[in-house]
This record gives sequence, structure tokens and C-alpha cells, in this order.
Amino acid sequence: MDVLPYILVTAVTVGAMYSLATLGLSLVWGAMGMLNMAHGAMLTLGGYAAYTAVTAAGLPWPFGFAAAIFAGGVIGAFLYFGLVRFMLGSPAFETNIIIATVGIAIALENVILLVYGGQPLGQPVSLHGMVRLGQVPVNNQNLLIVALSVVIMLVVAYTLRTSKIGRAIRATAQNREAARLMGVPARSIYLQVLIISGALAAVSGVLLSSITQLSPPLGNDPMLKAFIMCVVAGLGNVQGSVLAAFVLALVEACTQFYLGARWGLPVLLFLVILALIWRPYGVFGRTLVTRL
Amino acid sequence: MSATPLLSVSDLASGYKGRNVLHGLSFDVPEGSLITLIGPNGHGKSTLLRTISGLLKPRGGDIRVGDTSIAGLAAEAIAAMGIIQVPQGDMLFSEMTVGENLLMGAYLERDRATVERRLDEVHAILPKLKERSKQMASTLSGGERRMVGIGRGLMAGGRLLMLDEPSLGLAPIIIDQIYEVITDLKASGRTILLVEENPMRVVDLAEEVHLLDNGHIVWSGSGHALNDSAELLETYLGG
Repeated sequence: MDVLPYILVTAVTVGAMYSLATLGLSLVWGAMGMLNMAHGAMLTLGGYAAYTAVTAAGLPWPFGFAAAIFAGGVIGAFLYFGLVRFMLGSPAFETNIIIATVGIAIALENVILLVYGGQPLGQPVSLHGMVRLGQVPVNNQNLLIVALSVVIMLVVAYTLRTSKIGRAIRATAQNREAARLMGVPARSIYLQVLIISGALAAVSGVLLSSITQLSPPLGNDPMLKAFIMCVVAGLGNVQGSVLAAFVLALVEACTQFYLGARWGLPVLLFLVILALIWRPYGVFGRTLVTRL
Repeated sequence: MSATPLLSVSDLASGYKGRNVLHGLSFDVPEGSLITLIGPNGHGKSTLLRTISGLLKPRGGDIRVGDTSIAGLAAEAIAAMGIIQVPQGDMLFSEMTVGENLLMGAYLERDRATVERRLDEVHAILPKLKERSKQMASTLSGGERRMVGIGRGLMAGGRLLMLDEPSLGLAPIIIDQIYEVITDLKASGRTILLVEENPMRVVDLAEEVHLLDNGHIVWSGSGHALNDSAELLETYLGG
């Protein structure tokens, strides 16, 4: 039996989820120099929000995504109004916000633990059945994950590149003062970026839990992976981190298959160390941090 | 009774944490005029423009646009009133194209036709920017960057254009080109507040020149009067 197609299916699925998780993290870092350590908890929250909408409220499964997007957006807005608004412009913003969002992450994870309990739950937002791609059977859910991730990433990329709000986000990221002199309300841009990032995290949470299961620490592993992708690509480089997500997912899938599951993370981290020795500013990074 | 000036700065005090840089400045910028502030580096010229633009909050005094006080407003609100600064050192969006930089200048303009018309105007004044439209701002030469900065400021279609040392760090031949553009802008009736270190560039251009020293205006007069005041220049600018 040829295993390569199976590895590829896993790698593409996992890569799609990693890149979606990475996208939001990278966007916030690139736009405002904020490493959002609560990104993983926002992802978990999205998964649970979808669960609640479909299980408790009895809505059809697509509404699970709507509920997740809403919850993620609300937490994103909360991060702005509760933290960022007060801390922005302080000299040590980039360090302080890491510590503050670690606090938010712990609080959020424990709220979820209190409300839903610690036992794993099944994600109802999931497609059943499978199709055959050539000789390889592929779960419909895997196809949904890949399709949805790719569509979302294209929409975000296209918006950043061509729309007025996308230009304003990039301009604010590259030179906040100059953007303000052109009339861009930098604070409202930051609010919007956090809402978008929260929604992206939440959707990736739904997708991730659909092939694993829901548990309060759900977001921790993808948060770590997303951070790795960002660092490898060069922090804030959105396209680079998406590419890194797929490449590293492939490496991880191969390692897990050929060497065993427990070697996945060590090999990944080892490669990251090598990559950073080779290119200290990230594989796609430049000497000066370029954002977005 | 004279008309209300477009911009009126009165008794303005401003500065950075624990340090006042401006100590009670007053001057007016009448509609359609070119007013220049000269003075050595580190004496508050940029601080003044940053305060007018709202990047710094004034510590005292007032800044009025027509009859409205703008002191303490957010930078984006002041830009929306048509008070547009072309900051020192260009501050371009370096990972964006020349065309995108120009479009960012017109961020506040919702009407696409108006944006297109302004883009045509800017391309007419600065033809090179049209050729370079697709080029990344980070790949431009110093003079080209300065042109993009000015073009971006013009795209805002503001009532007052504030230029912070447009000649800074450029070769004399490029400075000549920049000043040709400024002369054209003045001829087209735009109101300009120009900050310069080099007084010789502005003598023929400015209706009024203010000499800034240590956060005070120590001398005011026409450009030609400045030219005749060799002693003054020597004292403050080292000749």
C-alpha cells in the first residue's frame, strides 16, 4: 500500500487548519505589534460556541460557524476595549501585551472549563461520509476544512491587497503616524483587526475540534504551532506564515508516520531552530521587520 | 477688519515628556499665502507641525482653523479638517507601491471620481509618480520619495499643506526640483506652511518668514527683509 497519498491528505488538512490559526495571529502581530497569547483560547471558544449553537440551541450545523465567528469577534472587541485601548502607545506595549493576553488566555480557558466541564465533547459541526479521490478515500470533513480554509485565506489576502480597509490596515502597520496624518483612525483599525482575528481563530477552532474533539486546552497546541509558523516565516509576514504552515504540516505528518507520533513536535522544533540559525529574521523575513 | 486667517496659532506651548519645546508661539497663515518657519535643528520646528497636526497635544495656547479650535483634537480629525502635513523624512508606506501611497493620501475622500481627478492633478504636477506608479516605495531614491510624500499630501485635497523640511538630506539639484514644485503649488493658489532650515531657499517665495529659536519666534518679516538681515542670519543660523 502506498502511504504517501494518505500522508498528503493529512498534511493538507492539518496545514489548512494551522494556516488559518496562523493567519489571525500573524495579522494582529503585523498590524499592531501585538503577540496575542489569547489566540489559542479564542480558538477554543469558537469551537465551544459552535457546539452550543448546534447542540443546545438545535440550529443546523452551518449556524455553528456563525456562532463561532460572533463569539470570536466579541472576544476580539473585548481585547481591544478591555486591554489594548489602555495599553496602546505605552513604551513597553509589545512586552506588556504578551503578559496581559496570557492572563486573558488562562481566564478564558478556565471560564470554558467552568461552563462546559473538563470532559471532551464531540463537535457536532461536522460532515459525515467520504469520497474517493482516485484510490484515496477522503473524509468530507477534511474537504470542508481545506475548502473553507483556502476560501477564507483568499478572501483575507484579497481584502488586504485591494480594498480600502485593507490598504488602511497595511498603512497603519507600516507607519502608524503617517496613516493618522492621512486621516486613518488607527484605533478603530486596531479594533477591526482584533475582531477579524478573533473570528478567524474561532473558525479554525470549529474545524480543528471537528476532527479531534472539544476540550478546554484545545487551542494550546495550535497556538504553539501558529506561533512557530509566524516565527519561521518572519513575524507579521502573512503570506509567508501560510506557506510555512503547509510545509511544516507536511513535515509533521511525515515524521509522525515514519518515526511515530511522539516525534512530530521535536522534529518540528529542531527544524525551526535550524531555520532560525540560517535566517534569524525568519525565512521570509527581512533585516528590518516588514509587516503585512 | 481683516479676514479670519485659515490657520491661527496663539501663545502655543508644547513639548515632550518633561520638556517643553515651544514656549508661547503666535502666528497666522492667511488663505492663499506661503508662510515659512526657519530655524536651526532642534529648536521646535517639527514639534510645532506635530502639535498642529495633533500628533502632540498642546500644553497651552490655542490653534484655530477659521473660527474652530483644533487644539487637542485627534490627528485623524485634524486631517479631516483639511490640515495636511507632509512629515519630515517622508514617512512613506514603504511596503506599498507609489500608487497605493497616493491613494492612502486620499483616504478620507469617499467619492471615487474626486480621487481620480486628484490623482490626475498630482500626476500633472509630479509626472514621475505616474511612471513609478507600480513601484514599491522602498525602492525609490531620496528625491523620488520626497515627491511621493508631497504627492500623497496633495491627494488629501486639504486646505493647508504643511511641509516639514522638504529639502532635508537631498542633493542641491534635487532640492531645486522640489522647490520648483513648491513654487508651482503656491502659484496655483494653495495655502502652504513651510518649515525649513535653509533660509536662502525661501526668500523669494514666502509672504512671511518667522525665525524660530529655542521655542520662541525671535524675528518675523518678509522673505526679502530676511535677505537683508545678514547679521540676524549669522546670529541664529551661523551664516
